[in-house]
Amino acid sequence: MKITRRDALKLLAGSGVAAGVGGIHSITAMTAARPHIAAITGPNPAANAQQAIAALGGIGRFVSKGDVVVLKPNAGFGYDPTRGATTEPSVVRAVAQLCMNAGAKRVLVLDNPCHRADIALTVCGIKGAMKGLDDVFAYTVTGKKFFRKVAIPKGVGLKHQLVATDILEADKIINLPVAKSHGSAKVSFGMKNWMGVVYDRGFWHTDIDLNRAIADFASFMKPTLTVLDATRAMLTGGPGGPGTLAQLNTVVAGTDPVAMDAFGLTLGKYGGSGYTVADVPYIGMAEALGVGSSKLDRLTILRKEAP
Amino acid sequence: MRRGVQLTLLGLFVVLLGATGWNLPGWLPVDVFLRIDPLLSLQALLASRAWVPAAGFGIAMLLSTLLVGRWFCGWMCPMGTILELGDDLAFGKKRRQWKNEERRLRWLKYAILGAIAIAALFGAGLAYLADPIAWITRIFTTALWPLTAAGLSLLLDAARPLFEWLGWMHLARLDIVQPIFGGVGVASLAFLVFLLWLGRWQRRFWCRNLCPLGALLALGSRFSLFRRRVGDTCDHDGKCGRTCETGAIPDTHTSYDPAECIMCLRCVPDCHLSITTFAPTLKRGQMQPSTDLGRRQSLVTAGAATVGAAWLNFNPQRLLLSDAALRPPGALPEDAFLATCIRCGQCIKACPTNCLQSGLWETGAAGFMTPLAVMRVGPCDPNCTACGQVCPTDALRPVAEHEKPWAKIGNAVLDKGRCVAWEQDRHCLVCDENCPWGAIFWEETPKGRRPVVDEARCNGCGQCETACPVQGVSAIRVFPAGQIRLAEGSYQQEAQNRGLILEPKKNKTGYPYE
Repeated sequence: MKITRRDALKLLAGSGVAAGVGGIHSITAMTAARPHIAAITGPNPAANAQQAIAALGGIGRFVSKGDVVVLKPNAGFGYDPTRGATTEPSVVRAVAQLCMNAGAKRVLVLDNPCHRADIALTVCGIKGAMKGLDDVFAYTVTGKKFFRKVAIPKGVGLKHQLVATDILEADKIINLPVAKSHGSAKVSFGMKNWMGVVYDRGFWHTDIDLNRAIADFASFMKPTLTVLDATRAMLTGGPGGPGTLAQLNTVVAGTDPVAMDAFGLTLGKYGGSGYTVADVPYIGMAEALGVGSSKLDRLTILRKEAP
Repeated sequence: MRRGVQLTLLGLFVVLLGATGWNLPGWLPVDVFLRIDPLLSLQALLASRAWVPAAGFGIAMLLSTLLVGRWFCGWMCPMGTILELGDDLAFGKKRRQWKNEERRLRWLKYAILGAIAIAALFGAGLAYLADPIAWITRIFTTALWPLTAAGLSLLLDAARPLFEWLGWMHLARLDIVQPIFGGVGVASLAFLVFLLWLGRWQRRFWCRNLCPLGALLALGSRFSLFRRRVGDTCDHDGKCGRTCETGAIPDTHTSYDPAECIMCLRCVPDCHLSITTFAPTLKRGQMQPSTDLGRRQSLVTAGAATVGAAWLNFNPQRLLLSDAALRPPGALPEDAFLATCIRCGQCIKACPTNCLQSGLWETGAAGFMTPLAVMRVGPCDPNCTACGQVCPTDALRPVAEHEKPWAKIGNAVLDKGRCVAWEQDRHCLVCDENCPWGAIFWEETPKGRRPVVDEARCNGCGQCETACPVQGVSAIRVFPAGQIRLAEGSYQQEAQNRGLILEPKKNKTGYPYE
């Protein structure tokens, strides 16, 4: 956006008035009060998501007019959402709606599921939840033609990947993982969720170290926002279940992928006895690549009970 | 008008077949064409030596020939319509090698019918080898449908940028996945081409000389109430004989063979004197004597059928089921399944994951073209009960949704030598991730977690085999050992008797909470 002299003058005048009324002190206080991570707990998952994003400064901070926004929920399994293996559909719908309200050109809700794609997207409820939203499209990407090969510049083990073209061409990307335990990765939150935007994730298991691959790929992805669905966190038996669930009724929002994963660990005793950052190697590896920070004590974290 | 009816019914056939899938509405009678096939009904009756209620439709169709002859062949049979359309395209008005009324091979269809009937009495279902409805279903499923899908997919690929520009993202990202079928697809296509090629000799060569269903309907048509009559003033212009769809009108022109006539009624408008009519009558005049099997032909037929039935029933693996015999859930016990399955391929079409494949010789001669679950291609999705829903003969029982978990297909067997977790210490539990049943647990070792199968929880659905990221043959594969095959009764009860645990513990909300 080009700022003309007149705009600049208006802006100066406006802030002058604001400073005059509230005092310059309160403006800095407002900035400081904006949390890095907002965790909202309440009975309505959609409202939790809306409030969590509002607490970070509102959707307008992340989505601009005319943006093509990609939402990446976890739609990996053909299970009922109450199983806890996939993102709560009403959370996905709420975020899609916010994006459209912020003036997005269109919202693409996509995943490359583990189970048979069309069945997974339908049975997990996410396809149906997008009904009636104009310019919001939920679909799966599985065919090679929907992917493009890109280099992973910071990748230590993972040098190239076939990544969903829609992800590569998106103006904004919002990660919408579900919080759950995971057999081979220990836990699955935001960074692990990117396995659903590549063509061949099997390679991550068979040919390089899984933790290495997750961290390397996280260095490539630049989500504008992560919204972690912990409505029902699957503490054991993940990622597919059946497992033990914790009814947390919480949705968490944040911009730092590493911090979000580190915070996810604090939500429950994953794997039965719980994990620390040290137990989940890919979090530290991603931090070393400069993806973000796992030092939660240095961040402002808002925890709020919604009425 | 007849062409219109034919095309409409062919369209209905294609639409119903196309509609089969995992979220199929239960009320839709997708198997109606196979259900009203009297040959298949009769075989079911002969093989089971008992009244099968589902056979009623076929018997009703057979009885209808007593009124209006082989109308099914001329108006309804999708194979007949395809052959007519194909014949028009391939040969049009070209001269054929044989005269239209040539009768030298007409007996063959009765011989084929006889062989099927005798084999059925021996308990061997052979109708699938020659029944036109089973063939045309199979041809559409394994050959025409995949080709169509491939073609549509190419067109769609070309149009994607346009759809994207228009903002029609659902179309722009629609993925028409071409189903994969091996040899049977090629064989089916070859068979269709062969039948069309026979048109060199006679139009509708198959219907006149080979089709056992036509032969069966012909038996009743001899006594059809509606008959062709030609007035006394016939000038033997002969057009009716030349254009007759099945060559049922001999040189006399005034007589005809009601067993060969398919009621296409073409001879009525083709009669330039307008003296040809079809009307109900009990008079039996003006009729060409029908084809009958001679004594030698009958003996050869019976002999061939006996040898065929004996050959099919000879199965050295009878005691121990072949490892390839991984059947869809709800399949009858193997012997009954083989006798009942008509290899129409409707289940294969309905399968949303392409897991069901048409076998060739994997399960022996008796299992030729029967459905096999090939889990490396796709899993048997727990949300789906389509195959049993669409099976026209209930060779696959319609398994209810709540019974599906218990209708065990087999056991997953882990090959540690191929497994990257066991052999290469990789962090891989993809089999566990994809298992809907919690049947894979892991052993904690100093070098990481390693997958192990709990057979008591394994449904044999093959999600693990599909998903295993090892290249080529999966490191975890489903084998039929442990499968539950019941002719009747509850799968849940049987599975629980065997000590299987195939449902997660549930509380009111569905899944267990802390």
